[in-house]
Amino acid sequence: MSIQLASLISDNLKIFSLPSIFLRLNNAVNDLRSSVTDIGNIISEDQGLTARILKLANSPLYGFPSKIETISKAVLIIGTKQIRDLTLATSIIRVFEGIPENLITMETFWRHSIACGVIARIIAGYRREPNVETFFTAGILHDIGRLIMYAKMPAECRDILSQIAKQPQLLFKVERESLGFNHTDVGGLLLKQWKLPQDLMEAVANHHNPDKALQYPVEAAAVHVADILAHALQLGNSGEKYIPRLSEEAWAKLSFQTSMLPFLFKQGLQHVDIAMQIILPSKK
Amino acid sequence: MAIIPTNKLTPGMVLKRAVNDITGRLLLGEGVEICHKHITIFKSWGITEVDIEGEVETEAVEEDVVIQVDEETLYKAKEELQELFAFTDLNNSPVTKEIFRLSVQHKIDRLNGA
Repeated sequence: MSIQLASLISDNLKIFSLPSIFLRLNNAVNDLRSSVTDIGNIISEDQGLTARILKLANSPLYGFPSKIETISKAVLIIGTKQIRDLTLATSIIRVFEGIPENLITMETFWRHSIACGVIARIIAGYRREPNVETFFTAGILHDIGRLIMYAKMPAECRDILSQIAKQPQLLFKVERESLGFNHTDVGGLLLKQWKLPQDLMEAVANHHNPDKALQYPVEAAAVHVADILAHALQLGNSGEKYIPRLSEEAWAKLSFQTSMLPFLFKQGLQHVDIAMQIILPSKK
Repeated sequence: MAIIPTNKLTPGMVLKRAVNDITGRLLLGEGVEICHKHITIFKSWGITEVDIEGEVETEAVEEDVVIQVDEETLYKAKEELQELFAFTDLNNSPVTKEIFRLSVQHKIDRLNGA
């Protein structure tokens, strides 16, 4: 690991810290003695978070047959670990509020991230994965390393972006060529420092080379494919001008027929706007 | 034999090959005549196409979305997206080709204000 990369992360831990409610929730989820009520109570302390989770759970993306009116019912139906991931997905944007928007607008960045999360979740749903929220959250977090880079090394990032404007190239490749690391390294390391679960970390750190994800290859493959589809639908952008090349191995890992793609496109488009409205803080 | 998209299936068609879900679980065996309920099951388990006995009129299988668009819009959409796909393996990867086709379609929908 380069010194620059290490200091990039350690400096930032002081600035970008996870909301305390998430940390308490994480402790409660990992504590075998905690009940669904305990977890519901922690979430209920944050009215905004409660509202976001209930809105999401009642949105067409979830498609539950009856209305979920209380947070404890949501915890019961969605599951405690999955609620924890969902809390992260719907709170992370607030951690990065107020970053200068010289290099990218936050709305564009999060639109791409949320689109990737929504599509990754749809992929997981079709595969009948038990942990769909992990896919959702990993998709939303996948380019988070770039935000740290834009915030902490804007001059270098500007150079890289102008280099690409002159000579077309994939951003994540130029990042590595110029700096010795790219946003997936930064993102992976940040998630590790934040002590987030291994599945999220692996999916974020390997979304450009999903075959390197050893423990959670399906999560990484889903985020890889979802990233490409979000690009192809031109839903937001995190700075990458061109669509990364599809890993055929990752596609094969999902065991979908090609005829699944129209469904992923259609449902992705259908749900992204609603997810955006719920997750993105409204402009004051 | 013919591979038919699930939304084009009609009751009475006969399965040429067994249909399994993504985990390999058998949903319907080979040689079974399809009824309405089966089609619903295929849809809810994410089966997008199945293999059917006999000849099926090609008309029924053709793409249901005919892109109705003037030459100029189509050209504009394709040109812009080809740039976006510059670093993909558009020539050799069938999956990438399909992603490209869907992107063009979506782009045209957007240009037409749909």
